Amino acid sequence: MRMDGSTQAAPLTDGALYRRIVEITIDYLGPAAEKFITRQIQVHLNKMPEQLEPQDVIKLTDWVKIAIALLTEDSKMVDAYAKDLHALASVK
Amino acid sequence: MEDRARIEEERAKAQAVFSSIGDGAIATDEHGSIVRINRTALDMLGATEQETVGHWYPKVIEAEDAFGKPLTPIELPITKSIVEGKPITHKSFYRRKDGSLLPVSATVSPVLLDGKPIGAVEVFRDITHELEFDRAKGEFISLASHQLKTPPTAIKWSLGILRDGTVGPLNEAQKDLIDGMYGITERMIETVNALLNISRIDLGTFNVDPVPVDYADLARDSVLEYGPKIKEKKLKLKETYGKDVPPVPADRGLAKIILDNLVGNAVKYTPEGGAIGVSVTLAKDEDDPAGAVRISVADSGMGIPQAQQSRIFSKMFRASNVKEVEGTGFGLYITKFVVDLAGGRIWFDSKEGEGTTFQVRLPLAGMRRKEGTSKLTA
Repeated sequence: MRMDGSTQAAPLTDGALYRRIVEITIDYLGPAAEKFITRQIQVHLNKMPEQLEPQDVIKLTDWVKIAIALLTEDSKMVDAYAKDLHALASVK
Repeated sequence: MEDRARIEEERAKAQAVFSSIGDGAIATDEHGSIVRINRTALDMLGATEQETVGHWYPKVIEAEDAFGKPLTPIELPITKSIVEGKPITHKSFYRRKDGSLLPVSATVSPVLLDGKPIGAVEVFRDITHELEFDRAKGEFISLASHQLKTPPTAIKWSLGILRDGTVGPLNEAQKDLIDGMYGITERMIETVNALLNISRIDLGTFNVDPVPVDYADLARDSVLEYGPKIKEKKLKLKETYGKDVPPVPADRGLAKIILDNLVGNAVKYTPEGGAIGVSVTLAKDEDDPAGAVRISVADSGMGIPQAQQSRIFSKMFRASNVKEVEGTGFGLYITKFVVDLAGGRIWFDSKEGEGTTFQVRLPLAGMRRKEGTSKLTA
């Protein structure tokens, strides 16, 4: 609890951000999530998963969103997924 | 107003360029919906603009592979292009509106705006004539190979009789000559068989007849067949066969091709006194949660030069360090084809001068039946 009464999310360091993204993606993609996210980080960000930083999340989301939009016609689900990921970009 | 007119003019120009592309062209947005399609694409698909524009791409483009298996959305080149972030070229069959199939070669690229992916653009062309030419070429090779196979088979049979001494004893010099000719004839038959397999693959005329197959048994058979060579080269052999490997639906002849080629290569490319290892086990892990047959063939042989490793499964490719050893360059190409056909994966680790380990994973679901007029031979 902070002085003003609000809560603050734990910092996502040392691969925690990557693991959080995988957790979110599992809800949408199932067990294929980890491989998919790892590959997307490597291909589009040229990084290893544990090097992922909050400022990478927007670019990563752009790519995974457009890929998932080709796997499901449910655009609401795709938007909800992208929104969940975007929220991680502001966690410091 | 002037700006608006200029934007409209630019938009019209972009549309004109898109429409003028001689091949079929489709553009999608970030939701996977088709936003543009040119006249050539509509004609090839036998569809109208109303039936395509504004619709989800995977619903409009129904594609199949060469074996008639529908491509899932993840297998479509458009998805692969986005996932890989680069242009992808892929051959497949698109289903027209009237139900007929159109062979196409499609190249898809992601569309980026200031580095952000905003869709994809696909250009595809009709490859009916290319396939007809390939077919004619394949039929010629198939026919020629059949004719070429008969004489060496008869020669080998006659040499076998001479070698056995059935028609009279041979002196040492005669025996050496006959042994040499027998070996050359065997290699000639092996090459012709490989050519026949390649033409059957290219023509798609081979059949797949799945029966329950025990891959561990097949591996034991291969090791047994190469036994004399293993003994002659004084190779140390380690075999590991899991007791829990279940029988998997597979065409026995095709499955044997995998084992014969991997074991045969290990024996062939390992120098005298070296070691080879063959194992067949059941894998059940995060890569294959439903389970898979894991085949591993390791050797302490010549290895594959790093710079050539990406080409090792190409047709007729032979690594530069094995040119002195007899071979056709077809074995691993055919092996990979069979592994792919079984829905499996093949990969390897290799270091030149130290050896190679090939790994294969085959899903327990096994091979699908396919009608055909010929069989691929090991």
